Parts: sequence; C-alpha cells; structure tokens
Amino acid sequence: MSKRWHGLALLVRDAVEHGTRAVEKVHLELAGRTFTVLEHIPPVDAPARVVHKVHDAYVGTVYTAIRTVNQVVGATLDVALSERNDRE
Amino acid sequence: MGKKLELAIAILNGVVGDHLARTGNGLATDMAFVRDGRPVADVGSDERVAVLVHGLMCTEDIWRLPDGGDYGASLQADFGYAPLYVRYNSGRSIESNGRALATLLSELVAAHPRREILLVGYSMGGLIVRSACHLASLEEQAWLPLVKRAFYLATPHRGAPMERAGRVVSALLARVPDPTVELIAQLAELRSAGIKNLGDSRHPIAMLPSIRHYLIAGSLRNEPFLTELFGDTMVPVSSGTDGYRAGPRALPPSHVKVLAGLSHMDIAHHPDVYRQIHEWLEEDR
Repeated sequence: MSKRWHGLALLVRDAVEHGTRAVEKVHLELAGRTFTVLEHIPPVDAPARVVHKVHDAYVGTVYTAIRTVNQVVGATLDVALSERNDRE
Repeated sequence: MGKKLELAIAILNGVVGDHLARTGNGLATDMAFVRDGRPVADVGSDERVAVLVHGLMCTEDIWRLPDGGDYGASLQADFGYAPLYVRYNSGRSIESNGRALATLLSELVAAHPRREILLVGYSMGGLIVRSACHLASLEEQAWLPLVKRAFYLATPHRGAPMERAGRVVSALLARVPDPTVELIAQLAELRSAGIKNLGDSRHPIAMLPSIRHYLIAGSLRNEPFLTELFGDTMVPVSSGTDGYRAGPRALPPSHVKVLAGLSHMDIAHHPDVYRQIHEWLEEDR
C-alpha cells in the first residue's frame, strides 16, 4: 500500500510539474501577442518592450516558484510516507 | 472499498499506465495472476489451466457473472480447467503486455508440467493473447505447444473506431495555431500507448495456425447497417470477427459467432457467451 501512496504523491508531483510548464507556455504566448501589437505602436512601443520583459521575468519566477514548492512538498511527503511505513 | 480502489487504479493504469511504468510509479500494476485481488503466490500444479486476460481499464472483477460465478469457475466445473486470472497495466502497449504475458506463461510451465493451456482474452486482452502467442512462436517458448484453443471475446482485431476518432480530433487540434488549443491537443495526446494501439486498423500479427481460434462479437441490434457500424458500441462486428464477414478467412465459419443484444461490457460476463464457449468445447472434445 505504501508503494501506492508514494506513487500517488509522485503522480501529483508530475501533474503539477508538467501542468505548470504547459500553462506557462500558453500564458507567455497569449501575453506575447498583446505585447507584440503594442510594441508596433510608436508612442507606447518602447515602454511596452520594457513591460514585456518584466512581465515575462515575473511570470517565469512565479511558475518556477510553484514547481519548487511542488518538489519540496513532494520530497517531504515521500519522507513522511517512508517514516510511517518504517514505523508500521 | 477494496474493489473500488483496485478499479480506480486499473482505470488510472489504462489512461496513463505507460507513463506510470516509465517513471517507476508505485501505482503501475505489474502483470500477475491474481486471486481475491492479490497476486497468486502459488500457481498450483493443475495440468490443464484456463488463463483469462481482461480488457482496457478493467480488473479480473470484470469476469464476474450476475449470479456470482464467472467463466473461469464454469470452465473448471464443466471441463476441469483450473482458472488463472491475469491482472495487468492496460495503459502499456499491447506488445509490452504481450511480452509480459509470454513471460508469465513461461513461468507457469516452468513451475509445474502442464498438459494444456486454454487462453481467454476479453477486448484488449484478446490482442495481448495474440501478441504473446506470436512472440512465443518466434522464440519457440515451451508453453505455446500447450495452447490448443484461444477464445477472443469482443476483441478489436481490426481496431476500435472510437480511438481512431480520437486520433483525428487530436491531429486536427494540433494543427490549430493557437496556444490554448495546442494545450487541449496536448491533453488529448496524454492517453496511454495501450489506448492508442486500439486504433490500429489491422492487427499486425496473424493468428497462429497451430491454435484453434474462436471469436465472439456482440451487437446491440439485429439491424445490419447499425451492427456493422457500432457492433457492441465499442467494437464493430467487422473488427470483433476479424473481418470474417468481409470474405473468405482462415477461420472456419463455425468458429465465429455474433451474439445479438450484448453490449461490449456484457460480453465479459454473460451466460450466453459462456454457453457458446461451452458448446465449442463440447464439440471439440
């Protein structure tokens, strides 16, 4: 049974990892379309480029943070499950 | 609770079982003979055994008849075959599971001398039986000459149209140049190798001439057009009969039966199906 709990934890971790990567890609592409339009309009083109870069960096940081927390929680859960298994 | 959990894990294996196996996930089911939901430690010394292989996203519980019996128990009572129920990860490719079944049968004959192995495959299980036999013939495995008969119940020998439709939808979605649609296409592509294999329109492996093959297909209606198109709702009659109706085949006509009024799920546990199996075995004694 313990093997299955470990498996479930791993599956959730995989789902969050792959899910955030896929959603991050969509997020950046959709936002990129809007920024590309703004970057072609002379009065706002320069600030739009700056905001675009800041936005992408911020988005990347947020998704990386989600994945890091996911990995830490997954690793903690693995340890907790192993300890519980040892005690039983 | 136990059976529900086992079924939930079987469904999970069917959907993403290849990923689970690839990543060494503890939820991946290893192929084994099972009894009362647990792997069988001792396969026994019976000389004649019936090996039953379930279908996609199932457990061996699919064989249970409404009265509590199953084909395996009836085969034992009527013909003396000791039943062995296989459980496996139905999300892996049919070839991988065929290899695993061939290994399991090799271990079965290595454990004790056997006189006969009867194979019964339901749905995807029938394709796995074919794949295992093919591999055993290439490698001259010791168990293959012991197989005299194989029964294929609702087996999509020529593929399942639902998976083919899934392939088309998935391919169309992938062509749309929109990130959101691409994401949906990626989700659609997540289905397992086992499911994708079911879309193959022709099983690449011929039926071995050394075995007597018996095919049962279901049809919900007697109306010919709807029967050809939908069959038992999952497998069209032309696929369940391996194209038998399309022209002269290697199989004798008496080895192919279409049972009217049975859905795909019914075929794994219906008295009419066992009656047909019984009749064939009686004729072939």
